[in-house]
Amino acid sequence: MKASDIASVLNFSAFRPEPDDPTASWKSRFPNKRTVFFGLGKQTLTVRMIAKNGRPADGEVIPDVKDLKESLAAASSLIRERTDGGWCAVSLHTRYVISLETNLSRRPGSEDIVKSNPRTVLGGRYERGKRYALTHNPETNSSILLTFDEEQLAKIQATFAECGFNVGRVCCGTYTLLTHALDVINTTKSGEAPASAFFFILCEGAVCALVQQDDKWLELRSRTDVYGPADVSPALELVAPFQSRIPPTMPVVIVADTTIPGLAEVVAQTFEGHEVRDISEPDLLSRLMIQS
Amino acid sequence: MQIPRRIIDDFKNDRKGILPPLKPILRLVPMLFYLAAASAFVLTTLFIVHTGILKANIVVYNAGIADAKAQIANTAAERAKLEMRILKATDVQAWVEGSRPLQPLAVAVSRSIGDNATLGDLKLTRDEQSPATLTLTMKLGSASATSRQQLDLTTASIAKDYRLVQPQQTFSQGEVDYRVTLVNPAQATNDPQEEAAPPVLNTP
Repeated sequence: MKASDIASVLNFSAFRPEPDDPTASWKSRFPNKRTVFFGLGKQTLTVRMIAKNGRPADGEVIPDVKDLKESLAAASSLIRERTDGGWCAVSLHTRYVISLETNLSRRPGSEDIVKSNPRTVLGGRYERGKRYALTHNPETNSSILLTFDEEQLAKIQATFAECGFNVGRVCCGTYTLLTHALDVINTTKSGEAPASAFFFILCEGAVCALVQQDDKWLELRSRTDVYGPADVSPALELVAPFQSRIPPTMPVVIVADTTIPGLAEVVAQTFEGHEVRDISEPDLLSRLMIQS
Repeated sequence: MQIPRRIIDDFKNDRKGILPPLKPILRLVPMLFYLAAASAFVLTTLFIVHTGILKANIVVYNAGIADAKAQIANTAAERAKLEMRILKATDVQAWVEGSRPLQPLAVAVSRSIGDNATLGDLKLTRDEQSPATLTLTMKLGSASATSRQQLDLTTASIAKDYRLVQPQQTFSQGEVDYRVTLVNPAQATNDPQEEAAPPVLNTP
């Protein structure tokens, strides 16, 4: 037993999850500590400081990030001073794929096994050098699959580490918002009134659209680096074709990483005749990342 | 349908050797440690404070003991003085009590002394073997012509209450050394030996 082990027991840190424990929520890992969330797009880097009380501060956008290492190194010293230990979470908004798959393995714990041994869950769909996350539809055989390039993930982590940051989490903001929307909308028990909705996810330039009809996931489209902070019209143009394909009674559920003024009205114009429900909240993505 | 809520999927390279947090019940260990440390601190502080108080009390008690010892010594000295005085007073009382029967004799002798005579010495001695008898020794001073008369006056005043036995007198240069054994008739009746003894009067 080392002296540090005894010290960790005496200062109660041994009773909290370790800072890089992926099975624990961010809130339980960093109680009363300042951290920082990064949102990494194709050419943008958003920085959002998390206060000791777990509340996110206003985000700062570093535009035109052509070389992540250069841009991050320039701002790292200032950012690290505002954190305790340089711990950060990175939300990736580029270079991922969200797809709708069917007939994947439904063995118990498959959503966790896909991270450590994806071949047993994905079978022939498995590709070497990729990392996956999975959300099963409990009513059908369809699943939402998130795919990341492993080399790209390692490169990003190495870049943050070189700039003096301790990476506590790497996640996909769009996928996080999508699972949050599914959790909010699908509240009925199995066999009860099935839910139908057109999910429209916007997350710092990335867009994802999912059609769910009577609990069945019919179609999913995901694109990255579609729109900028000032204009979301490219995202609307991307999902506009769905207007003619979805039933007129299907509500449109909007989930954005934060509230976008006037978005619901614009979507209502695009999806005329559909009920539009905006479940976005200020700093929603940051709050989800803190709470879970 | 309901999709179980899960922790956000993490694509970070997991570090090997990540330990799960200890069970909450084990928080008792550091709590007890801090409780024991706090208790030790409090008890040590109390011990130090009480030790200081007791040391101060010991000093006060020692001072009290010294005062008491001094007081005892003073009292003993005073008591010794008192006992000495009591002893002296007892002796005086015994002497007074013992000399009370002789007071009429001394008064009679002193009243018998005339203006031209002096009583230089008077000594009354009681024999322990025969308490009823007294030995009177006195030295009378006066002119040679009156010394015999003075002696007669004195012996006459003594003879009122006592029987004079074996008187001895010596005249020299106007002074008379007189010695006589006096027998109290009242006491002598209780003493058969004295009664048997015949009165002797030595006169020159």
